[in-house]
Amino acid sequence: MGFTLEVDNYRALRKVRWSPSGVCAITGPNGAGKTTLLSTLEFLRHFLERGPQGAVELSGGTASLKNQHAGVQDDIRLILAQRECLWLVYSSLRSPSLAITEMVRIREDIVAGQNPDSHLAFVEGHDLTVSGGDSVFSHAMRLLTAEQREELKSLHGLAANFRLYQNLQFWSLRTAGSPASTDLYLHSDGRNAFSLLRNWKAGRKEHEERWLFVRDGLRECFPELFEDLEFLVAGQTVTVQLFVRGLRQPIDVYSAPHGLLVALLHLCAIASAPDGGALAIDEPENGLHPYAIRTLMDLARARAAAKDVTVLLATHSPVVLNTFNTEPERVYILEPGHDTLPIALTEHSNPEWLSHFSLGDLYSDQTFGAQRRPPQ
Amino acid sequence: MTVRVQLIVTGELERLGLHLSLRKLFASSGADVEFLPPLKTQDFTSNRVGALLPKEQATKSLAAKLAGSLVSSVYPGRGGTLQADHVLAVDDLELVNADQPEHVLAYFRHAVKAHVDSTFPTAATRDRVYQALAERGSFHLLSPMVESYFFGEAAALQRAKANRAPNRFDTARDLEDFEVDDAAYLAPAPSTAPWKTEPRHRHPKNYVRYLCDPTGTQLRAYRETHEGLDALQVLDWSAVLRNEAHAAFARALVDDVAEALNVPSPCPGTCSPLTARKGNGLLRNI
Repeated sequence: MGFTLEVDNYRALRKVRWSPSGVCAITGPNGAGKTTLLSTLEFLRHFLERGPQGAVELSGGTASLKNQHAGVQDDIRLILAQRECLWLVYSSLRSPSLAITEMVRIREDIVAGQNPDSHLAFVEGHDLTVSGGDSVFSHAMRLLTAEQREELKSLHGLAANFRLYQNLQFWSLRTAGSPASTDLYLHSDGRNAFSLLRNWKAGRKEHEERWLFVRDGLRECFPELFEDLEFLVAGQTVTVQLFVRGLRQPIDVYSAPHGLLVALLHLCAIASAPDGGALAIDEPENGLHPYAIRTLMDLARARAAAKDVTVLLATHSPVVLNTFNTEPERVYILEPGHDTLPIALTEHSNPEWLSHFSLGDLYSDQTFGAQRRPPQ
Repeated sequence: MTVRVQLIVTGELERLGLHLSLRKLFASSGADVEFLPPLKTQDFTSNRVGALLPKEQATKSLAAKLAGSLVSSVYPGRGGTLQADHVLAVDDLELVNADQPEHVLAYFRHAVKAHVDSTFPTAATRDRVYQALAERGSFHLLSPMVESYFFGEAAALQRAKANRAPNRFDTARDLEDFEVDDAAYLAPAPSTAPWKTEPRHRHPKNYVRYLCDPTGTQLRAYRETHEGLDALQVLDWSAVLRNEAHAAFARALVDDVAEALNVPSPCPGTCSPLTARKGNGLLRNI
């Protein structure tokens, strides 16, 4: 299904107009804003969960919130849209505080909003007072008519369930396992992976296919290594031991190959996304053999197509990019020198010309997304 | 003396299984042959092959990767027990290029020349490389893709578990001109079906996927490295190529290997004039 994201003046991003769907790669030089682009969606999720105050705190505070190249009068603006629904978050940094307003629209009708510079909000027929810990959109999903809520459900779900996976906590998983929980979705740092997998496997039938996706995916990524895993529970901790081909005894997770844990978390991340949802993984290639990377990409594409999931991958990997040789329109570049980002690779270069080459080679050779551009 | 044959392929399925199926085919020919572990590079035919590039760009193209792998395997070769006597590069023609195999071959020849001319600085060395290529290097096409040939052996589809729905492929039809008239397969597909991409009726791999999972609800009922490999590694090429007028591209490949081994082809018949052995080409066959 995909979505549209518009961003103005948020952190490293001056102007973003972006409509990704399916499995997409985001690439470009270090410091171009790839992770920031993905974190925008995380900001919106935090906004729904904790209101503007919480979202700002979790994204580094107000000091770095506004783009440094933005003018004094330029405000921060974030729009998330899907089908005919739109959610706008608008912020002006006015000393001494941050003024943030929201607006929710179905087609041309504004069904919820907040008055600028006040705590007064409206949700069709209801006036309410909101605090820094509230999101008007969240209130709207409670107060609107059932028909309107149904129309907004997909957009709300997209924002509420989005996860950006980065800074994964491998060491914690190896040494302390996962805290026992009833979680059904992987946390952004991956720390609940083992309890999540156990819940998928042992819980309701509808979640079992997620467990099978991960287990069978690991078998495909590591055909001569991984056989299976079993769960160990001690008090409030869940950990696993792995059955490895050629060994009679299972090995504990502390001794597990790093790439195996990387792939396990990526597969959990992909399986966590609800139907029609979206997720992002920052540099999924780290620690993986090229064969495992390609297989992981195959698995991600198969699941994205079957579940209508959008998978966004920030990457520097030629191996990842080569898997886009037949769909360069799903590769997006962030690089300086453009008014609007990201640039679809097929807008950057003629698709017919691109078809002659390996995208990984072109990126390595700095034909696009160059770390150092030639002098003009 | 053992003849060592090196395949250079572009797909994981072919890397794992094509040499095994050819070894099985030639096992009873009396030839003393060793199929070396195949090499794999990226394919250049998944996109429609466009106009020939200027030489300096052609050396960086996807086709040049395959060309470079072929050239280096022929000259100087990998050495020792990995030194090949004959090297065959094999790529799928793919549906997107089904109407222009001549151009695909011309494009590959251009890439080989661009690679040789840019890699070897002296004319004398280039002459030696070109001579080695003409004597020991080949390039073949599978048309439109390797799964086409599974339809030539009923047991291959069983091995691929492509038996969950009736197979409506007309076995009188040339496998390399694959087309299927199966109303259930061609009916509007569930959005989840991995075989729904068009042109469905001409796509052998999608039809295999359908036969593995007609409901279109499983994520990966057909995996090249599992079900595909089970079908390919013991594929009965004699059955696949039993109609002497059909499958001319694959027959040219078998014929080329047979000639390299100095044995009669186990699958005689009409080879594609585009990839049949010739005496005066850049490679043995093109």
